[in-house]
Amino acid sequence: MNCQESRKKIPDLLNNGLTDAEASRLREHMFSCPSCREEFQELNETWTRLGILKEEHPGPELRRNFYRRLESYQKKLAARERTGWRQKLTRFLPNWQFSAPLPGFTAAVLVVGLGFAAGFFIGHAGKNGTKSLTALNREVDSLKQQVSLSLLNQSSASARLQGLSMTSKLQDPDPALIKTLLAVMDNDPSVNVRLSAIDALYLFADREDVRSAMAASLARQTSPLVQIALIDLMVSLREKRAVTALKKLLDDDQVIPEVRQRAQSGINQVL
Amino acid sequence: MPDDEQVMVQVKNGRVEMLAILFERHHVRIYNFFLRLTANRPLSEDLTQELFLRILKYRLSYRGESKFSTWMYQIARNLHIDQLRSSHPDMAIDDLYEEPPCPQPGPAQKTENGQEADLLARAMERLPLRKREVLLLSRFQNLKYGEIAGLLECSVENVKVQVHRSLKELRRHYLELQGGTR
Repeated sequence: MNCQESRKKIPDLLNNGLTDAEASRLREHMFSCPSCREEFQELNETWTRLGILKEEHPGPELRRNFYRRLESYQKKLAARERTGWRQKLTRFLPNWQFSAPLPGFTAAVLVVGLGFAAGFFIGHAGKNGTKSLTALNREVDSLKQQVSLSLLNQSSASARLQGLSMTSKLQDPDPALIKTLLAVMDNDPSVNVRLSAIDALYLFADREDVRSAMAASLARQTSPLVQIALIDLMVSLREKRAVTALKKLLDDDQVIPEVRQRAQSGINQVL
Repeated sequence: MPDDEQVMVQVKNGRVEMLAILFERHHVRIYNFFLRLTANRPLSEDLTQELFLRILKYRLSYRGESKFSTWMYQIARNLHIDQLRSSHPDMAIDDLYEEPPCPQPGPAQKTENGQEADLLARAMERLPLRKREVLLLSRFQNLKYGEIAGLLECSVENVKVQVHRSLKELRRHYLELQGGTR
């Protein structure tokens, strides 16, 4: 793969649009090409950082107005259907009288009665509706977490990548999911999955337990790509607890020179 | 749980109350799409509401074989373009999409996520609409590049180039706002 091809594929890597083999080829190229690696790191950092922009929630009026307009649309639709039938029947039975004008007083009583009935039913539907919607939202969030967990435990690397990408939609992941994400970062057999787990955990890096586990994981990682990704992350978080792991990397002869150089620069920036 | 396409087919077939399911599934994300495009909360709520009403109005034009989200974002884009036309009647839409937005007097959107998120939101607002939109669709709305290419009526390669350029420009604005500290 040359630099031109590599740069064309970087957006695909960000959007999880590459197969495992393609992603590996791209990462291999970036590992040996500092210019492409830097390009990727810049884009990836910005792409990942966008995750801190949390979704905002609209005011409650939006939901209320939507249901009011939907109900009104339903009524119009039903009225149109009734009119349609009446017109069809009138065509066949032109002399039939379908409605007679109501005397004024009866009409007024009916209108008032219908108003009370509508208020009663809408009030009840509103309370139950809000309760059931909150429950539905909770259920959907919990469902998302379960699906993510289930995907993260699959044997296929692409399924695990899909599970990691789902976690970015969660507002408040439960401890079991965080634990699984950390385990994937530590032990997953695929380097691509471990790297994606680091990206996924970046979104939850405001949690003390996540930062501490990431700092500890740095000492256990053996892949240079994962080591570099973790060093960069620890530096961007200014995580002082990573210094011990960074020093260990510096002293380890098995660690390649690029990583040791990065560790040295990391220590200088964190301290 | 029925998927979006199955629900929309039922709405199309007259069970309009089923639109409530699609509303509950998508309104927050759509609201955020409009919010990042317009940086205006009341307007974004209006556009979100109008979007679901348009879905009702045009429900018969929904073709079951196309993905619901792509169809929905097509309507959302059209709505936003209509809004731009009415607020800038003397400007061409292409110009509005390509030109950098007017500088805001202060942070137009104060987020609740701290200074870094505020800076990033302001950096996003400095992007021309075309670039902001492509980032929103790919990063936040989870659309594939092929789907975005269909929406924007351009090639997939073109979408990727736009994502690349948009990220670079966003980074530049972000660092500028940070005061060049990094």
